[in-house]
This record gives sequence, C-alpha cells and structure tokens, in this order.
Amino acid sequence: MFGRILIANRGEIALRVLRACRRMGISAVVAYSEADRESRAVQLADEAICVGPAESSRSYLSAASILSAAVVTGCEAIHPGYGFLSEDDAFAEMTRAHGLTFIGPPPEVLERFASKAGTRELLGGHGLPTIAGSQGMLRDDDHALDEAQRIGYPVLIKPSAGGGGRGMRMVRTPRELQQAITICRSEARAAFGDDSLYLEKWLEDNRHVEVQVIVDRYGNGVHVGERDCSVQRRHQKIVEEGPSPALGVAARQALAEQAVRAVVAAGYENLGTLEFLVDRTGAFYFIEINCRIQVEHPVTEMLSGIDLVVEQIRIAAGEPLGYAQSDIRLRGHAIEFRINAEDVRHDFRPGAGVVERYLAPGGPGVRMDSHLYGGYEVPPFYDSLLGKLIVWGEDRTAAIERSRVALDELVVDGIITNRTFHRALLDSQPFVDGEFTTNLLDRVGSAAFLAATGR
Amino acid sequence: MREVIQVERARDGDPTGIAELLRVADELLPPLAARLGVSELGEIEVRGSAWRVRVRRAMGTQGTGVPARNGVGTSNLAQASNAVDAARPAEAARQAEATRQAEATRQTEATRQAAAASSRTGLAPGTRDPAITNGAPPAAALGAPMATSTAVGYFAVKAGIVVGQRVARGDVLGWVDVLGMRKEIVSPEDGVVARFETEPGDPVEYGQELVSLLGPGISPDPDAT
Repeated sequence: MFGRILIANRGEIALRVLRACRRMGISAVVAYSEADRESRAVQLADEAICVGPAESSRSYLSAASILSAAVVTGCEAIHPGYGFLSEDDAFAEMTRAHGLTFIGPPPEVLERFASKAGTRELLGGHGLPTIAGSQGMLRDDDHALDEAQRIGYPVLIKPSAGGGGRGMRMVRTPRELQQAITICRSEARAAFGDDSLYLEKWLEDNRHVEVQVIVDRYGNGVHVGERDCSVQRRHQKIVEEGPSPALGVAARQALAEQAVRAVVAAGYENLGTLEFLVDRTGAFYFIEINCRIQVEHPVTEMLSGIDLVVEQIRIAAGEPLGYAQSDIRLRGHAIEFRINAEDVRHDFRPGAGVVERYLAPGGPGVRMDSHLYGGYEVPPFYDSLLGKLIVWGEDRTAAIERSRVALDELVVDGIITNRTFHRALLDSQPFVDGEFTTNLLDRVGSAAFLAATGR
Repeated sequence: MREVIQVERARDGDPTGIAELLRVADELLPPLAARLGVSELGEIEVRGSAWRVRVRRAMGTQGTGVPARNGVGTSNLAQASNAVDAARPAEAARQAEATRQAEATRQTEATRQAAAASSRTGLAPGTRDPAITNGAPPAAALGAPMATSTAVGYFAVKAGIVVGQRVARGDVLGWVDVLGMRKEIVSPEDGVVARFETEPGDPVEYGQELVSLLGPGISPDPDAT
C-alpha cells in the first residue's frame, strides 16, 4: 500500500479523498492553487503544496506542476479526484514514467476507453446496446451536417474531452446544429482545452441511469448497482438517486450485470461508471464510461456500505478485489442533492463570496460532504459545487421525507445556494412519482417549475 | 525565519555602504537569531556607530517554536527536504557559493528545527496560524523586491549569483527544476541580491520566496560610484 498520496484536486472531493487516506493510514499531501490556500483540505492535510495560480490551466490542469509536486513531496501515488486530470491518459502515462501510480485505470486502459465513439464500438462488441453516434470527431460543419443526417435529428452535440455535462447542446434542425456547433466548440475549448466534438442520437424523454463497477487488475469485477441521474438542468446533474425509480428489480439487475460483464471482457480496470440512456419502454443504450470517481458516488456508498475511494486506492495499489458479487448487498434508497452556489431565481447564476455561517444537517441516514466552514471564501474561479447532501431511507418515501427535514436544517449564510430548488423538487409531483426525465426542467423552464411548486 | 529582522543605517550616522550592511548582517544575524531562539526574550537589538540590527520574535510564537517562512507549505517542504538531501543535484551543490555556505547551513538547520518544533506545538502542518502570519510579514510584504517561484520543483542558483551581487531586472538568478526541465527565475527589479530565502536543492512550491533583493529604493554603496 502507498505510504503517501498527492491529492490533485480541490473542494469537497479533495476532502473526501483526504478522509479515505486518513482511514487507511496514508499520509495525504494536498496540491492547491493560490485561490484555495484557505481551503478545508489544505487545513487538514498532512502537507500542502501550492501548484500554481487560480487559473486551473496553470494549476490543477498543469500535468507538470502536479507531478512535480508529487515528486518533491515524496508521494508514491496521485489521486486526481474528478474533472481536471482525472481521465487524462497522457498524465497517467507521465505519472508512471516518473515511477508513481495514477489512482485510476492504468494509462493504457484510459487510452483504450478515451474515445467515446471507440468505447461504444468496443463495448457494443461485448454485447451492450449502444446509442447511435457520429463516426469519430466532427471535422467541420459539413461533416457535422452529414453525420446528423445519417443519425437522424434530434441530436446531441457533445465535447470529446467533456465531463459534467458541460459544452453540450441538443439540436433539432440543421440550422440549429450550425449555430450551436460554434458555441459548443468555444465552450469545450474554455472548459477542457480541447474543442473536439461528436454527435449522439437524442432520445426524447429519456432517463439517465448509470452503473457503478469495480474491477481489479486480475479480471475480478463487480457492479454496485445503479444510480438514476435524470434530474438535470442543461445536461448538468442536480440530483442523483439509487435505485432508479424508472426500472424494476429484474431490469436493474439485468442492466448492471450486462454492464460489468462487458467492461471486464473489454479489459477495464479500477472504478468506473457506465452511463446509459433509458427510453420510455425501458430499453437502455450505453453512451459512455467515466473512468474516475464520480460526484454522485456517495449514493452507492450509502446503499452498499462500500467506501468507493478506498476501493479505488486499493485496486490502484494492485490489491485484489477480495469479494464477489454475492457479497454485495444493496439496501434501502439514497438521494444526493448537489448544493451549488447558484441563484435559482436568476437563471441559476453562479455566485461566489464569503460563507458567513454554515450549519450541516444531521440525523439518521443523513450525510453531508462539504468543504464549507464559517468564514470560508468561495473563490469565483471554479465550479459552483459547495457540497453534497446525501440522504438514506428504508425506501424511497422514507428517503424523501428525511431529505425534506435535512434540507430545511441546512444553513448556508452569506452566499446564495440552490437549496430552494431542491426543496421545490421534493414537493413536485414528477419527482415524488419517480417520473423525472432529463429534459423535463429545460422543457418546462426552471422558473416555471419553481412557480408551479409555489416557491 | 520567523523573526522580524531589521538592519538599518543609524539616522544620524554617516552613510554606510550597502556592502558594509550586508557584512554586518552576515556576521551578526545567525548568532543573534540563535540567541533569541533559545532565550525568553522578545527582541534583541545591537548597535554600531553607523548601524543598528534588531531581531524580534514574531507575535504568537512560543519558546523555540519558530515555524518557517510562509506558514503554508514551507514547513512541509522543510520536512520533505530531509528526504531529498541525498538526491540533491550535484550541480546545485557545486554552485552553493562559499561565503554563503556557513550561514546557509545554519539557516537550514534552524528551519528544520523550526519545522520540528512547529509539529510539537500541535499546529498541524499546512495550517496557518493567523497570529504568526500577522506577526511576521514576509520580506516581500515589507516592500523588499522578491524573486518568487513560478513553478514547482527543486531550486537551483545560477553560478555567480551571490549575496551582494548587483542584478538588473530580467537577469537570470537561478531556476526551478521541474521534472528535469529548467524554469528560469529572473530578477523582478534592478537591485542587489540581499538573501537567499530558499536554499539551492530545496523543493519549492509555486509562489515561494526564493531570492530577496535590495531594490533601487535603497541607494547602493556610495563608495562604488
């Protein structure tokens, strides 16, 4: 096992990884940008090292700075968290070349699963139904128009380097496609430093269901159930839950088993999430794999009792899985609410500023993963995630009831949050009935949605 | 060093050359800082005919618990430097210039003791103690020009760059070795090299103070003109 790990991320996930290191008796070094000097992870770290200015391209995205920081602080491995360098195969390769371990899939596995079109083909070959998409990256407008014609409108424009739903646009006509493609390119370039785009068939009224898998380097793999991430706004997940209210027990099991069988056969390794779109009939289509720990991983942790970050570190260190599918028991229902610094009344405008007071909710089944503290200044340079409230109950109704109590208890003063949205969601019929689809909020409009629930 | 150090020309004295001040600083500071460290005193001041040196303990530090410079990162790096001593590039060691070496050794030792002491005080490494931060502003905050690190790696000083050396803005003072690649550190202003804030071969973080200068605001040695 590693003696010392560099955490190359920020916010709540840096804290989450730090906690896993503590539990395992591993010394944790936190790499931070100048804007995150006062962050909770830096305060709690065994060591902290400044890797660059606020601008993430020169700090959290700088492979040389991060790797050099790991070398000079005597770390044996780097945990990239999510976003930033977490799925960068070149970075993983560089890390290995300097004798360190990248906590995630090995570089050649990352490379094999780097292309989304290629991954669809690969896993399709191992029996997963896949969504129709463009062949490779879009070269120019003409190529995009041809491919969209072939797939059939509506189509979704997606950035190749993407993640977290950024830079995506759904278009219904060639005219919309031409307009959107320029915007998507510039967004992708700004967010990921890579403006390659591809197309995917858009399914109306779909649900987003994803399967968590854990595979060791010896070919042992398990799934840890699925998460339903259908509450989205402009392709950004806001609420995630498990099990999926859209699928019955047999359908969920079939989906998860098919997913893990395919990735093990394709030579995947470490933690992964296979994302599927599920249509109105319950048919599912594989869209992409996320080769990292995900924001919504606590949902699965609450259901299974498995510490996914610990598993990720163990497997990266070469340990065998050590348990079988039959050892995994999923119990009850869990819902995660992303608490964002967003003004829901002004089109979810992101905010920043000083947190004057922060009080986390508590009680049975309530978990709050957040890096906030009273007096903390939320820097304006990064995403607006302030933390995640995860609530567990014996069943979905119990989880919703507890969630209402927990959200009412949560206090974040000094900075505006999207708490009112979550509270409204819990009283909305489509959510309570388990019938949310990924485009519902955008179709109704967030303002109309809030008005309809009287908030 | 956590102590506040002032070296001044006495107001009514004859103008003393910069070289003289640096000589005084080189000779007096290490023993004064050491004496302050083991004493219960808050401040020690000594005067010559044309100069005055005052070494003051930072507010909020106790006994010998004198943490290193910046609070964040630095004490951590000082610990890490123990591990990398053996791997210190021979080139950097060669460049450690003789007049600086005696003081350098003492300073590094003091920094290590400080780091050890800070962990004894129960102050978690990486934690900023506001009292300490407020008590001892870094030299840059006092207005001295400072070359800081623009990268993460190991610091090396360019041959010929020594304390007292006159440098122009943009002159290369040294570099940070980032995974075998050199990232140059240049002088931010015209001035005279006053002190190496980081020892050659030590690991450095982004923004770390490397070399302090006496800037153009302080008139150079009148004898030299």
